[in-house]
Parts: sequence; C-alpha cells; structure tokens
Amino acid sequence: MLTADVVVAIALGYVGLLFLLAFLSDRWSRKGSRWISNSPVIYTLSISVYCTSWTFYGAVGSAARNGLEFITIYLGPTLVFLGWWYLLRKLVRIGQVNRISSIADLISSRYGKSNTLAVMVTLMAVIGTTPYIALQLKAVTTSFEVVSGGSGDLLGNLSGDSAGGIDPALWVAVGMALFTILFGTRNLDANEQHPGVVAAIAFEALVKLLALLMVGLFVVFSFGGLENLFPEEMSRRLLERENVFGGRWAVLTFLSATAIICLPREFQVTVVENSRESHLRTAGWLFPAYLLLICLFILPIAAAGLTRLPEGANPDMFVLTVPMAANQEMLALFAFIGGFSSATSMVIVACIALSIMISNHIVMPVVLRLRWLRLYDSADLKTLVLFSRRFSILLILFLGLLYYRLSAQTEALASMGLIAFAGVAQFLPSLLGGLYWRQATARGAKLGLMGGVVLWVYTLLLPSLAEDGTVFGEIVSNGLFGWEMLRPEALFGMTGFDPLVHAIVWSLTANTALLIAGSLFSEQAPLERLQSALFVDVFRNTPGDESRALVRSAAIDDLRLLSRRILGADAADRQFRDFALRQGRDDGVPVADTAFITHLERQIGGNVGAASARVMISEVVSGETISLDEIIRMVDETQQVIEYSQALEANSRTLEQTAAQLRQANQRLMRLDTEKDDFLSQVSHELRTPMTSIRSFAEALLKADEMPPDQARRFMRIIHDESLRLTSLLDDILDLSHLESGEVRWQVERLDPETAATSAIAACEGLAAETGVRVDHVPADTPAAIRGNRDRLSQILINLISNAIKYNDSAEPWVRIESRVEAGRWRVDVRDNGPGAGDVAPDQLFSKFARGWRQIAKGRSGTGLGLAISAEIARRHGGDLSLTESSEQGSCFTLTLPVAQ
Amino acid sequence: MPRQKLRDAAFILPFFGLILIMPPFVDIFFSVRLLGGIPIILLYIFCAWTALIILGWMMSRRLVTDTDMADPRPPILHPLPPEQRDADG
Repeated sequence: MLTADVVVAIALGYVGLLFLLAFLSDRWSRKGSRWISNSPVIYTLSISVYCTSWTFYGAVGSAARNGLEFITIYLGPTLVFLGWWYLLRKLVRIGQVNRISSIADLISSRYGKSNTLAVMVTLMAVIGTTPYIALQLKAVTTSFEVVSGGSGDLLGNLSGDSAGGIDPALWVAVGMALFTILFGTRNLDANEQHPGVVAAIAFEALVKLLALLMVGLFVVFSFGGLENLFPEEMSRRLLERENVFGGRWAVLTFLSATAIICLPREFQVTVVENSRESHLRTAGWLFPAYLLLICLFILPIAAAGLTRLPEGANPDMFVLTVPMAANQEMLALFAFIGGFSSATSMVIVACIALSIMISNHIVMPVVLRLRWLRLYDSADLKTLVLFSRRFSILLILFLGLLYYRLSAQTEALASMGLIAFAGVAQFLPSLLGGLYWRQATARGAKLGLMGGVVLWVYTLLLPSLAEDGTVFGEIVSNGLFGWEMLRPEALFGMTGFDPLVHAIVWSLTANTALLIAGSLFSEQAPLERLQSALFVDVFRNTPGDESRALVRSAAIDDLRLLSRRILGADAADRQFRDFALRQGRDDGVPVADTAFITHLERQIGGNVGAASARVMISEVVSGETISLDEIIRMVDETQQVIEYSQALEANSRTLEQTAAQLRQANQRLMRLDTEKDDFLSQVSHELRTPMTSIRSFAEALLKADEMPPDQARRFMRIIHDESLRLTSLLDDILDLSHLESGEVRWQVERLDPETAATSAIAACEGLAAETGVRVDHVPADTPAAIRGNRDRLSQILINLISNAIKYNDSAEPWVRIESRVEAGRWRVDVRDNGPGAGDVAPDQLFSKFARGWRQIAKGRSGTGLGLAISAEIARRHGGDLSLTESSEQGSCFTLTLPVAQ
Repeated sequence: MPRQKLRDAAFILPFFGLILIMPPFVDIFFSVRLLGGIPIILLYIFCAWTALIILGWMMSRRLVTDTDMADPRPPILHPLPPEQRDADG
C-alpha cells in the first residue's frame, strides 16, 4: 500500500527533477545553446499544456458520463492546427514583428495601443483562469488522496481536507509559485521567452502522455483484449445517446478551437514563446497527433472503470482507481505523476501569462501615472516590472487557492473548464476582426468585448454559481426582476437549448454584432489606422514601413535613459550599438530618427506591453505626427503589390506561350535544316550521275584511237544528252532558288487563265500522242480573269499534265483538266488514272528537299524539282497548289488562284 | 503541385476536416456495433483524424519556402563577444 509519505516523497522528487531540468535548460540557453528554441518537437510538446488535469482525469469522467462528447475538446484544436498556414502563422508573425507579450497586448496593440482594451482582456483572463487553476489544485489534492489512501476510498468522494492535516493544494501552490517565480521571472527578456519553463513543460507533456498510454495499455491487456473490454452492451451504454452530433457537438468543437487560440496560456506557448515561424510546420500535424494519442484510450479506461469498480465510483478518478483496483500500485503512482504533471504545467504557464498581463496592463499604467516614478527619476523600472510580475504570480495562485477553498465542496468546479473556455472565447471576435478586417475599430472591439462578457456572466457564470434559495437561484428560475423573458438560461424565450449552447450563441452573436456595428459607426484614430494596416497586411509590409507614417523626434539621451531603466543598462546599450551600426555609424550613438524610436518602442513594448511603451516613449518624444496620407499610401502599396503579383502571373503565362511558340519554331527550323542537308546530298547525287557518265564516255573517246565512227558518234550523243540533263537540272535549281528568294521579276498582266490552260495542253499534245494518253479539257462555264504571268502559269500546268502523262501506266490512260470558278477563286483540277503519289505526305511532295521526292523521281526522267517550282509559282501568284486526291486508281492535283477584281 | 494550389489546399484542409466530423457525414457512421472490438463510430473518427494528420504532414513538408519562413527580426550585424553576452544575461 502506498502511504502518503511515499507519494509525497516521489512527488517532491519529481518536482526536484523539474527544477533541475529548468535550471539546466536556462543555463544552457544563456550560454548560447539554442537546442530548446531550435526544436520544433519541444515547441509542439509545450503547446500540449492545453491538456491539463481536466483532460488527464476529466476526459475519462466525461466519457463515462457523456460518451463521445469528450472528443470534441480535442477535435477543435486539431482543425485549428491543421489550418496553421492561415491563422497561426499570421498570429506568430505579428507577435514576432511587434514583440507581442500576451493576448491582451495583441488586442490592445491592434486597436491603437488602447490600454482600456488591454485591461478588459486582462481582467477577463484572470476571471476565466482563476477557477481553472483552482480546478488543477483540486485535481492534485483529490488524486493525492486517492493514490495515498488518505481519507479517500475507491469511491473517491472526497473533501478538501486531508487526513494528515496537510493540504496538498497549499503545497502545490507554494511549489508552483516558487518554480514560476524562479524560471518565469528570472529576468526581463525582450521576447518574453522562457527556455527553462518550456523545457520543463515539454518534459511534463511527455510524462502525462506516457502515463495515460500506459494506463490505457494496461486496461486493454488486463481485460484480455478489446473484445472483452468492450462488449456491445458497453459500447451501447457509453456511446448510444440521443442526438450525439447535435448543437452541443458543434458548439463544443467550435469552443475548443477558439480556446486553443484565445486561452492566455495557449497564446503564451504558441505565439510568445515561439522562436521560429517554421516550428508551426511540425506543430501543424504533430500537435493533432499528440491529441489523438491522448484520446486513444479514454473510452477503454472509462469502460474498465464502469465494469470493474463498484457502482457510484467517481469516474473522474478512473485513471487512478482502475489500476489501484487491480493492485497495480506502481502504475497508479505513475498515473498520479502524470496527472500532477498536467496540473502543474497548466498552473505554471497560466501564471506566467497572467503575470505578464497584470504587470504590463494594470500595474505599469498605474505606476506611470504616479508622479514620483516619472522618467527623470532614477528609479529602476526593470526591477519594478520584475517585482510586479512576482507579486502577480503570488496573487494569482492565492486567488486560485482561495477559490478552491471556497468552492471545494460544490460541484461547480467540474464544469469550470467549459465555462472558462466560453469566457476566453469572447476574445475571438476582436482578435479575428483585428487580424483580417482593416476597418475594425477600438470602439467596436470594446463594445463587443463588453457585451460578450456581460452575456457570458449572465447566461453561464451566474447559473453555475446559483443555488436554490439564494438571489442567484431566484434569478435563474424566474429571471431578473422576475421577468420571465430575462431568465439566464432561456434569454428572450430561447428555450429548449443546452445551457452552454444557449450561452455561446447569445454571447458570441452579441459580441460579433457589437464589434461590427461599433466599427461601422465609429472612426479609427490615426494610430489605430496605422496599427490596423500593420497587422492586417503583416505579410506584405516590410519592417520599418510604419516609420514613414509616424514621424517623431527625441533627444538621444532621453531615449537612452528611458531604455536603460526598462531594459537594463547592458541590454539598452547593446540596442543602441546595434542600431548605430545598422545606420552605418561607428561611434555607437544612433541618430534618434523615426525608425530608431519605433524600434526602441517595440523593444520596450516587449517588456511592458505596447500601450505602456507608447506612454513612456511619448514622454520623451516631441513633435509626433501621424500622416494619414502615408497610411493610405501604405495600404495602397500593399494593394499594388497584390495587383503587381497578379500582373506577374499573367506575364508568366504569356512567357510560357511564347516559349511554346519558340519551341515549335525551333523544331521547324531543325526539320528544315535536315531537309536542306537532304537536298544537298540529293542534288550532289543527281549532278554526279550525269557527270560520271560524261567523264567515262569522254575518257573512252580519248583513249581509243581506233574507234568505229558509229560508236564514237553514239558516245558523243550520250555526252551531249547528259550535258543537257545537267544544264536543265542546274536551270531548275537556279530557277527555284530565285523564286524562293523573290529575285525573279516577271511581267504581271490581267489574263484569262483558260488561255494558259489551253496553251499548256497544246504543249503536251506531242507527248500525249507518243504515249497514247487521252487528254480532256473541261473549261469553266463562266469566264474569269486573274492577274499573273501567262508563261509561268502555263509552266505549272505543263508540269502537272506532263507528269500525269509520263507516269500513267494504266491500260487506258487518260488525263482530265477541269476548271471552274468558286468562292472568288479560279480552280483547275488535273486528274489522272495513274498509280497515285503513293504514301508520300502531301507537304513533302511539294518540298524540294523532301525524302519523298527521291522515291517519286526515281528511275524517271526530269529533275524532280518541277512540283516544288510549281508550288512556289502558285504561292507567288497568291494561289495554292495541292494534291487533293491520291489512290491506286489515280490522283488529282488542284491549282487555285484568286480572281482579279 | 504549384505553390498557390498547395496553399489553397492548406486552406481547405481544416474545412474538409470539419465536414468529416460534423453532421450529416458523421451521422452516416454512427453505429455502436463493433468492428474488431471497436465501436464503428469510434473507428470512423480515429481513422478520419489519422487521415487528416497524414494530409497535414504531407502538406507541411512542401508548404514552406525560404522567403515565407524568413526570420522577420532584423539581423544582428555584429555578434557580441561572449563576455559581453554573459554580462547582460
């Protein structure tokens, strides 16, 4: 049996370990080792401070009571983190650029560094967090008593008083105060980052996850697998509820999604302690994975508790009592440490976050109003800030303890988690409005926040505190002043809803509506407008932009004095030195220009909050003007950037098209190039054949002295014929090259194309008679006139007709020339019943370089350039020559020419 | 995938997750009967959850470019010698 002493000793040992870990990490990071801030995994683990003892113990309790509903608390944050690129990244960027120290600071900065807003948010955060801290203290106490077998029994119905006379809550509170003061307020850091605390929190996150997983695994295996643990009637008992996925499911998911952004402690670990934006990449999926693991065994543990433990056992303690009922004391002890971890980590981070808010937004403004602490006094404000932080931590823990003592007997604490969530959810409209809506004004934010909080108190907090017979109880049952319409849980007759859904719908609707209405009907102050431009367009502004719109000057010595008092002498001097270097000055004294003042204000704001920093800087600054024109120009410029990038996109599309065209042109050129090579080798070959025969016959004539005159004559005839062929080939090549280069000038006249056809047919009559080919001429019905050169046109037709005659090898060969006028063009078809052009591609047929040319010209007389020349002539007449039909039964070449007007 | 499309996908992902876990879709899978010892509804939620995490992981690996994740804080031009750094801690 574990005794109280053993448990206390182990808990103390664990706390000692945390202190050691925090101490070492702090020391490493001050020595310049950055593994804590460099590790995205540690960052993610520290975010899991979201899972408090309300998760560790409460999730199982909630599962046993309400079935699947507990899972919504983890699905909301999952969705927010999956969408990190849009919301969290912007929050982190704004936080880093503007040295935001808390959520109150963020909202106040956005709305013109309004201190009123900062105070409102801070108070709301304190109201929402104190009961939550009390809840953690209660969880530690209760679990301690269960595990040490104090006054508790397995039924877990416990009172706040411990048997041993020690109240663990007090000791936990003292221990946590000590830890937080030691590692959370060690010094003032311009980024409000606490590596020691983060390392300890991350370690605790691992411990609580491991503890929960081990209890879960134990439960599953000790029952002999899931089948025995989770029979169908258990599944039915736990999960089958009326309307599981109703309004409450949606509202709880929304609420938890809101909480992961708005809870002060979450804001602290996610935004303020973030040292690199890129950590969000990992956290974006790793944190959802952590939450999934946390949820994995919740239902099995609940099932095991309901099966094994006596009726009426407290489901909130199942995580402890289930292992204990199986006499697994070590496991129970580990589970206790897990629960202890989740409680302490929440208390520590919440205290740090709240102490920053209280000291920056409540203590500092008061101090700044006191005469005797004004700038020109020598008092060191840095010490004062640290002191007020420590005092705030003690105050918060004291409040938590007090709340716990006063309400320990009631059941109010159990529902506190969701009530606190609903409270901080009131920050959401101002936060999102500030991040994405340029026109949101401070007036709107104040109105919205106020309305939301009032409704939250009235519809949710008040009923939770009400007991029958008290004033509150009276209001809850009969409405304020006895008006039925004002019943807190059925406002204006909205009945039939779950109280939480009812409260959320009313408070957030009112909050958002007031923010929008207030913003529409009020003007932004100049500073507000500047800040809104800086926040909404944070990804587009370049740092230092605001110094264009905010012009001011100050004496450098005043600035040095002020920053030394806040940042400390060394840190302040370093800021001055660095900035002087950036300005290109090597005397270490920067010029007190607008940029430097803005930079300094941010540094100071990192320590005392933007609103207080502004008040302080304003003390030493003179001649501040905010140029509305510049702000408008800034907003315009970001607009221009958007337009510019759109134009760029369009441009790159055009470029892509051009590139595609160039690629095509290049391919065409390459094809032409190979065709040209092809042509050259073809021409050489064609020239070589006659040359070779001329040479060999000439040699034979030279060598043979005695040659019969007949033979010599025959040889010379061959030489003569071959020379003629050579000449005509060269003529053709010359002709073609002249045609193509456009050097040929011929006489152009108005003429009847039929006359050209007639003369061409006449020229071919001899050839036709020789080969026995019938030539028919079918002229057009209507006379047409074209502009062109008669001889050249005849040349085309002669070429076509003579080819048709020469290559026609059918039994009854015929050629038909048929012309007509259609669509403003004179068209002539030269049709034959020859063998056709084979499978030569039509465009190659007319190309002088084509490979197909070789096949056609093979073994036939003529240079083979005729078609290429004809096509060129047709083109030069504005007409077209094409092969319109080609088959085994014959082919048809068509020449079209434009009719002259 | 082009960067802009990837960003659009990253924008859609949480809403896709929302559709998966909200009625009417989640109602389709509401059954307390068991599949391999696990209630079907629970199996569905955990599977959807895991799928979302895997999608988020795949996207986050590609979603980042150097310029997006540039450290917005102005660079410190001259690192301090160690003794000075210790002095102000």
